[in-house]
Amino acid sequence: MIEALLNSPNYQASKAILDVTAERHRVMASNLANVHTPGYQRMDIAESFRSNLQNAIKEQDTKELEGVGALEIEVVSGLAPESPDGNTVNLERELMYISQNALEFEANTQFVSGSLARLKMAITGRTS
Amino acid sequence: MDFIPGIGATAGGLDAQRTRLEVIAQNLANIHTTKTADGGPYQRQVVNFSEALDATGNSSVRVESVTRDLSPGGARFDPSHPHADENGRVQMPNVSLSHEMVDMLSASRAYEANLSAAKTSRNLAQKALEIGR
Repeated sequence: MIEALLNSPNYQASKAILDVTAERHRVMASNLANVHTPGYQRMDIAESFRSNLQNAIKEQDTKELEGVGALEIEVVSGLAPESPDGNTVNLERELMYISQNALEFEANTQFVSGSLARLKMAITGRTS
Repeated sequence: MDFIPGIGATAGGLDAQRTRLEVIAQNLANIHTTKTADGGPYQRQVVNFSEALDATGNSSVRVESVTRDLSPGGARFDPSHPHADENGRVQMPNVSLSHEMVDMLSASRAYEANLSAAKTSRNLAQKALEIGR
């Protein structure tokens, strides 16, 4: 019974997104560290991730959702004009993505916490 | 897998930018140094960054080398100067004040950005620890 709750697609998706946002933060921290490295190309989570996640949620497939966490990281260009030394990282843009991503992470921690709290409520019958 | 996401890369960035700031300070300090151990005027130092992997295998940055800028500095006519040549000209260092100031601003902005990424990393780890509270 509890397993069924913890295997619900929403809970699984939320866990997958937590992994992805943490990984995305790592990638963007690397981008920011390399803001002045000549020739460095900005990296990000592969665009295919979003469609994989949407498919998995649509089909309510928990097996597929678990697989969504396995990520590819690729060079993403065209977001910022390349500077003369070939670097494609934009400092302000990267900072913005980092705070946006951190909010996404926080929202998902709250969702996971909420799911666990509801489960606890169902078990104990108390609201706190 | 690191406990605080991205902290290794950010640490590398902070370290590299701090080294750059130190070298800029050194250039500014020597802006009028007309004689060095090698005999000639001071030549400005340039920090070269390259991509490197941190302890957890994420991409970070390191200072690959600190090289000399070999471009010639200007010369000043001052026959009374002890370092003047037979024509009374003193070779000046190739340090440009405005150039160094702009570099300094850019380095300190990048340092601040990495610092704020470090704070965000710490927040992420903290939020993850609060799951289920």
